Amino acid sequence: MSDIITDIGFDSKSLWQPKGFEPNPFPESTWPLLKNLNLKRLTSIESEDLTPIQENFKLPMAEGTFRHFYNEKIEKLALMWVLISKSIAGGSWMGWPNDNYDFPALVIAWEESKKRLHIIIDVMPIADCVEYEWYREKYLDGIEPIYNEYKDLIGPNSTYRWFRAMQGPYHIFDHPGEQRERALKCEVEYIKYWVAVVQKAEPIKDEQYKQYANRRKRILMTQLRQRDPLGSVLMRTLGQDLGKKSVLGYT
Amino acid sequence: MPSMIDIMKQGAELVNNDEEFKAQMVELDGDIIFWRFEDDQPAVTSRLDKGVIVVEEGEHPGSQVGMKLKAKVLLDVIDNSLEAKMMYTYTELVKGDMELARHHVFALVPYIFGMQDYYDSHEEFQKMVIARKKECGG
Repeated sequence: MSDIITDIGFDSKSLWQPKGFEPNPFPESTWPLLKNLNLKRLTSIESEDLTPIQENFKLPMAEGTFRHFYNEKIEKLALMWVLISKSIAGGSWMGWPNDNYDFPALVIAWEESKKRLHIIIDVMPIADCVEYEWYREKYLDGIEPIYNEYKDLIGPNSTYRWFRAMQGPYHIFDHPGEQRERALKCEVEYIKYWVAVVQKAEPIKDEQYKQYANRRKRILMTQLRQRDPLGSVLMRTLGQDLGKKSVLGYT
Repeated sequence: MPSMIDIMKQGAELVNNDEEFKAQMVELDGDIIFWRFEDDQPAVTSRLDKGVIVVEEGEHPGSQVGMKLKAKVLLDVIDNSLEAKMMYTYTELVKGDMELARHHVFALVPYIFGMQDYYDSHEEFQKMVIARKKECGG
């Protein structure tokens, strides 16, 4: 039997129902775009067993699940689908290349409540786009037509300076008001782009550049791990053990 | 005219008696936050005590986090014209740091979401918030 994952086992309505609104179909709109990457289930990271958070959990302030994948190019690709305090539907995809590749990280966040939607959409560069301008041209500029189509969704940027510092040139952030379907379409387009980039990606050949890219990637991951406010939310709502696993799973 | 402590006490009473929010707070205990309102007296402490939100006067010395803010900021959160997590943008931390605030203030999520719900559904509570907000120029 193949160990390629073809079904994530849930959709936006099957795990939980928030109070006062119906969440947009984030899992079922995004997963089909990624499954063609021939993803395998990732069950541990840094000796941490991820399988407990791949179960459906139901805790006083949070319910939901995570999925983690990898393939021959992707070190980890994490899906989150949780409901916080019955009121906030949180979905995300976060994907990182393994050490042989330098394609950008996928950063997709969907935080929806009755009155608000908050999004983060990026193909986050692993290399500095000024020092390595070819990186921007090779991996990022292809998203520009999509960025231009959806840039009206951009609102006030993150209040976190460390996060602003790591964003890519085609970052889309913030509150698209009631344009929920359009915001999800934008996320779908970015994911499609990232999948195409991953499929085309070739291993890094320049050993010196490879060391640089991997060092910078680890710094990005570490900063997210230590500073992302989502981490605090997960630690608080899932508890220390499951919270730690969930943070390791996407950073 | 209701003061912030009146509104916060009323909110706590509603949330503490709501089965849905009680279930969310059941494991919360020991998170203590004081609120120093620049334009409202007295200061208020909110603390989680074995799954119950307790609101009392003054700045509790055992608070992990102390926040200085205008009354309108919390009122805006209660009537949902300001997203709860944006409260930090308009708040000065006078005790604790951002990491502690994220951890302990998050324990107030059921309380805050509960007050938002009751603002929409409980006429008396809504009147208190609107009256105090009018006084603040909101």
